[in-house]
Parts: sequence; C-alpha cells; structure tokens
Amino acid sequence: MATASLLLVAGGADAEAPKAFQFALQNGMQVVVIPDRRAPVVTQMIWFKVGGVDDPQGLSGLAHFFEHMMFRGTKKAPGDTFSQTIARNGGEDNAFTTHDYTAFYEEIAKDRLAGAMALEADRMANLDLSDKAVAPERDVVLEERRMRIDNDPQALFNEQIDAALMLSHPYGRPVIGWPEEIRHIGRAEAQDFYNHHYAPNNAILVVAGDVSVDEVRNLAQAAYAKVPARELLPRAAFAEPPRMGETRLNVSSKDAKVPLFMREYRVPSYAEAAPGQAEALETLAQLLGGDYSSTLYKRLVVEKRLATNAGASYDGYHRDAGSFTLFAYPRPGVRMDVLEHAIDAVLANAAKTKPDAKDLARAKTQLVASATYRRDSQFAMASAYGQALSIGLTVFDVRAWPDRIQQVPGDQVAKVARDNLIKRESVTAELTPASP
Amino acid sequence: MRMRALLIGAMVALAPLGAQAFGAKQLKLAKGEEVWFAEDHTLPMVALVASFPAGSSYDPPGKNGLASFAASMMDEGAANTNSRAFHDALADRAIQLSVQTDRDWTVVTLVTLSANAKDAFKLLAMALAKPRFDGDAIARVRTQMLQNLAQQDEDPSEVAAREFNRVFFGGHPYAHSTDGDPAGLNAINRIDLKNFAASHWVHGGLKIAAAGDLTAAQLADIVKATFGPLGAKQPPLPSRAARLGAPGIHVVKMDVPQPNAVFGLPGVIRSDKDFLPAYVANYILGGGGFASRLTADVREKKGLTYDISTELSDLRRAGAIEGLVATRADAMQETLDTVRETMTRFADQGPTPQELADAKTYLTGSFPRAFASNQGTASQLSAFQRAGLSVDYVAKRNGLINAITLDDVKRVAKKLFDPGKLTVVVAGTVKSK
Repeated sequence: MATASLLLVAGGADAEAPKAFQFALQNGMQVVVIPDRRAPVVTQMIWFKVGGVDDPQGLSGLAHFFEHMMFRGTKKAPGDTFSQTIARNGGEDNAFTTHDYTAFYEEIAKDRLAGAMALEADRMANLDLSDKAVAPERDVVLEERRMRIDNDPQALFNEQIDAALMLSHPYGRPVIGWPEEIRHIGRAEAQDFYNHHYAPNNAILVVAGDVSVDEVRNLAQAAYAKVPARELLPRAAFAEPPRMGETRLNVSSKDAKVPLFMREYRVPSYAEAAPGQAEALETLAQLLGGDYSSTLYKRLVVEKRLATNAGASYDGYHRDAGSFTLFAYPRPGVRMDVLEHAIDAVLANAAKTKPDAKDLARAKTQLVASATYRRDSQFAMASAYGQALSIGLTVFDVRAWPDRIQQVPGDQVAKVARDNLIKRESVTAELTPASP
Repeated sequence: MRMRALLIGAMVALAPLGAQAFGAKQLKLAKGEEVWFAEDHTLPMVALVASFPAGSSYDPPGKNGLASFAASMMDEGAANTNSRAFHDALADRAIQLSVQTDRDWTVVTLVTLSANAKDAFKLLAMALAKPRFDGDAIARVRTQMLQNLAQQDEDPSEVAAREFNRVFFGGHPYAHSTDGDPAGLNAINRIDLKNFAASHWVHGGLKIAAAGDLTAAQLADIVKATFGPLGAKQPPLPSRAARLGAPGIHVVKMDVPQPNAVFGLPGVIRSDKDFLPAYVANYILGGGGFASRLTADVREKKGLTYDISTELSDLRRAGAIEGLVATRADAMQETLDTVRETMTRFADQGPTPQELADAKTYLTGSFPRAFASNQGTASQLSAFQRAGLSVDYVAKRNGLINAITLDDVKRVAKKLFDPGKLTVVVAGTVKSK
C-alpha cells in the first residue's frame, strides 16, 4: 500500500495557515488533501491539465465540449447515471473548462466519497461516446454559447478584446469555441481528445473536507490506482511574438445600451513572473481598482465624476501570459477620450511614484484577508490548490501567497506599473451603443 | 454494476445525518430580538446576516426603487464619516458589507475577521442608525442605478423576469422591479431616503443569524449595541396578493440570438401545510437540475436549451412557482410545448415511487452541505428565519421531508401544476421552424 511517493505537510509552523497534504499514486495521479472538519461533507475535484489551448486548429471549443461529454455515460454507468447517482446521494456535481485546465467536482456527504471516486475513476477510463449523445450535446453547447456570449454585448466585447490581444497564442480563441467550429466537432474528434488527455498521469485530485489524509490515501488507492497511465499528447509550447504596437478597437453594438471603456494588457502570469512580480501586479490591481476605496473609483467616480463605475483586475493564474484589465463606465454625456485621458493620468502617477503607505497597507490587508475568507469554503480551498498545481505552481506557492503579498515593497508596485502596463502590450477598446 | 451497488449500500447510512452534526441556538435577549447563532472557532472570522422588513413591496407609489436606493446608500457614509472615509474604514479592516434587497426584505451581510469584529459592528451600527444621505452620494448612486436599469434592458432574461412580475402580480406591490424604474428613481429625494431608513431599518421584525468565531455573550452585546438603538415599530406588511397570474403567452419583442422565457403558476405560501410536498414535487419536475424531468426532456433528450429550471418563490404575501428557459427563436415554440407536455404528464401521474425516494435522499442528504462554512451557515439560518420558521426546524427538517408520502406529492402536483394556468413571458421572438 506504500503508494505515496511523496508526503509533505504544509502547515505546522503557523497555526493559522491551512494544512494541505500532497502525495502521488504510482500511475502518476497527484493528490492534495485539505482537511476541514466543520461539517460531515467533502468536496472532490479532479483537474485535468487540458483545456482550450489544446483544441486542434479549426475545432475551437473541443475541450469544453468534451467536458460536457464526460457526463454522457460509460458502460457501467450509462446515460445520466453519473449525475443521478450523485444527486440521489445528496451531492452536487458539475465541471468547468478554461484555456489551461478542465475541472470536475462533487460536493457530497463524507461517507459517499468512495462512491464518488468510483464514478470518477470509471469515466476517466471507460467513457462510452456515441453519436446519439454527440448531436444533442453540441446543440446544448451552442445554446450555452448564445446564453453566455451571444446574448450579452459585454461578453462579445470581451471576446473581441481577447482575440485582439493575442497575436498567435490560442488564449485568443474563446474556450467555448467559435460557433462555426463547434458545429464541426464530432464523435471521432471527441474520442481522440479523450484518448490523448484524460488519464491519471494528467490529473490532480483535490479533496477538501471532513477527511484525514490516510482516509483519502486509502480511498484514492482503491478507486484510481487501477486506472492505467496513458501516453499523453505533449502540450504545445506556444510562442507569442512581441507586440510591436498598441491595438485600438471600437465596437458599435445595436444590443448595447451602455457605453464601456476597457483596456487589457498582456502581462506575466504567476507561472511566468520573476519572484515578487505577480504579487506586485496583484497589489497594483487592488490599489487601482479592487473596490470603492481604490484609486480609479475615487478619482474617476467620486472626484472627477467622469464614470459611474471603474475598476481593475489582474488575472495571473495561467500557464502562459496573464492579463491586467481596466474598465470604466462613462457617466452619461462624458466623452470616451476624456475618460481615457483621466485613466492614463492615474496610471502615469502609479508608475511614477510608489503608493501612499496607507493605501498600500489597505490593499495588502484586503488581499491577505481574502485568503482567510477563502478558507471558509471547501470549494474555494480545493480550487485554489487545483488551479495552482494545474499551471505548474506548488502547494508551497499557495500557502506562502499571503506572506509574499505582505512583502511586496511600494517601489515594486510602481515598477510593475511602469514595466508591464505599457500601451504596446495592450488593447484599448470602446463599446458604444449603435443608434437604432 | 459493482459501483452502483456500493453507492446504494452506502445510502443506508444517510438517515442519521442531520441535526446532530450541526445546528444553531436561539439567544434569549432582553428586547426579544430573534437571534440564531452557530458558534464555531475553527476560523478567525464571523458572518452575520440581518434581515429587515424593508423590501421593494414597501416602496411608496411613484417611488419605485426606494428600498433598493436606501440599501445602496448604506455604505455611503454615516454620522461624522463621509462616503469616502466610510469605504476606507471598511477596506482598512477587510470588512465585507453587502446589502441585498428583494421584494420582502433588505438583507445585510457582514463578514469580518474576528480581530476586527468590534470595529465592524460599530460601523454597521452607524450605518443603520445615522446614515448621512449626502447629496453627492445620492446623485452618484442614482446615476449608477439608472445605468444598471439601462443595462438590464440589454438582457432578455432581465426583461422577461421584469415583465413576468408585472403581469403575474397585477396591481400588487410585488409587481414592480426591486431595482425600481427610471421615473421612480428620479422622483426619490433625500427626505424619502431618510424617512424610509428610519421607518424600515428597525428593530421590529428584524431577524439576525450569525456563525463563527464569537461567544453567545459577545454576540448578545453586539446585537444590543448594533441594533438596539433602532426604531421599534415594525412597518405594516402589504396585503395578501388577491389574484395571481395572467394565463397565456406574452411576448416582449427583442432582436436577440437567444430569446428567454419566464413561466409561472400560483403556488403556496411558506406556512401552507402543502409547502413541503410542493417543494418536493418541484424538485422532481424542475428544481433538481440534472435530476429533474424538465432537464431530461428539454436539454438531455432534445438539446433545446443549456438550462431549464423551476423554483418555488415563497414571498411573504404570495406563493408562486417560477421557471426559466432560454433557446433560439425557432426552437422556442417546441421548447414551450415540451414544458407543457412534461408538466401535464407530471400533474396527471405524479412522481414514481423511485423519483420520490431519490428526491428525499437528495434533499435530506444535501442539507448538511449548507452548514459547511460560516457564511453558508449564517445564510441558511437567515433564510429559515425569513421563512418564518423556528430554530428547531434545523433539527426537524429532514424528518418532515422523509414523512412526505407519494399521495401527498401526487395530490399537490395535480393541484399546482396546471398547464392551463401557466403565465408565459418571452423576451425575444417566437418563430415557427
């Protein structure tokens, strides 16, 4: 039973920090356990290191479509047996797909964990893809796209910005896929995708909740060890050429009722960044636009009254490039160029001088507290570890994040504003309502 | 097959789960506030949910949106602290204060690190008892709310929901949007906001649920200091909704890729003896996600939609059953026909014994998950409080669900799921194939 190739205990020194245990099965499956004994329930998540970037040319949306097919049954658990069985046992199950990873999860009573593992192990090895299931599921995905993207002028706008920001990298393709390409997905493509990406040696199992690491080790060994490793299709190492000029995008939409200004920069992700750089970008985003106490909101909304809302965010959990986004809704009657000028003045100041000590302390307090609040949710904790490991970070990185945020010096915040928020690396975009 | 046997075997263990594993107690306080508390010191944080009888059904005529407007002003400054300083004071301590308004209630959620709990409740006490309602903050929030309304006009799900409430609730105060309307928002002034807060953010009818890193004695002190100074007089409830529904199909024309439909029926209010059987029936028909008949028929078999669901809307003065579905224009007719067929069959025959058994194991087995976090616990306890239940309901709930019989559900399904009474609102277009 000595399958644990590695057991490390993240925790101990700091009684406040959550404990996370990690080991691996012999077939290559990584396992992380985060005990939380407050209620007799567990969250199981399985993260596969496959996502939208792995869609073949001309078949954008395949990874996401395939996530749906994982619910369409095996020989042992045909049709919708998977979800029906989880529901019958009081559980909730679902899944999500991003560019970098695909995750499946069940939230269920702790004495049902073995059953949930058996179901996941079964569909990891024995999925039964039939033409009968493929056609209606493709229609479901097209409806999902209409709901999430096509019906929503802001979502379409964001899709255009992402496509414009990336010159070559598949991060520029929507995870849900372009509609014409979704229509080309068939059974053969789905089967091929399954054979090359869905295997224990491409998976991270995360269990959070009312369990011990020994219980999970025994249960995982019983359920997953018998699933054989597979030869994986190596993931492409995508190049993204340097951008040689800024991109400006004007979208006029008959469906939009409210104008919107956005700018998205291509910046280093947590996986790519130099030590401290991603944390400085995270701090900068909180300072500039994390909430009503942030600089953009105070300057643009409260003082200058140019916008009704404004903010910023850093999306750094990617294998390849991350992004840094600014947005502002102009007040009725305010011209976009006036708004942009005011935003640029805020950015210029952030790049020139280090943040006010009180503001910096406030931003750090908020970020560090967010890590404590996250511990209130099994799902959020399991997601934090699963996401980090999926993009090549470690459990230590997750655990040390609050400390690293605390250590970000003020001049490093100004430095990333100077070095990383540069026009050449950005798309500046305006959404304007078209007059009917 | 082995795998299924394992799960079915494990199901025997389901019954004992329940009140022993978690729970809440009611504090006995001098002023008789209704305070439920689940103490847990695992994490250094506290979540508290306070529900005031201050929903949009209390909006005065011509001032639709007043309850929401007042709620949106709650963090915009109090006593000697202006909007900007108030936001900074919250952010300096990572205090999360959020306020939501529905048709019956204004629900205030405060999440704080226990180290900052004292300051957090001091700020909340100020916000409730001494709101400033400064002119510049009023102007800013009004513009934000008007822009939010404009943005809702882009979204067929919002448009359909708004129109559904208008036609379904007729002349009742539940008929208008919680977010108000442009005329109402523009008519609201500082005095309206001040008066509304003074008469509705009150002690009478207030319900408080808390979970996390406090002792009962600490919570009692907090409640006294935070909510004690508020007015005592509870605003009168609106009248019972007399007539519900406007059967037929109502179309709000919109040129969108995916029209949205909201459909509904008169339901039962929370205190009705048929409420729990109706809850179980709804789970089987449309509330149970992938376990529901509507998802099986409309999504899985025909691929007509990504999402279809129904829920019981247990407003204080009206019960309703409301469903949502979205599909492309040339599939809307087929989708609505399928909904009617599935509903008719369910009303005629009711659930199978297996469906009832599955519903019970889901509804009872999923219950502990609501208590897996401080925020989840506070929010579940608060929902029970607003439903008018007593604190022992937490312990009794699973037993009540297990006691429901097949005949109960059949009878209630037949009574409620009458397709002839369906009010359907579509935002978009309905085309034939």
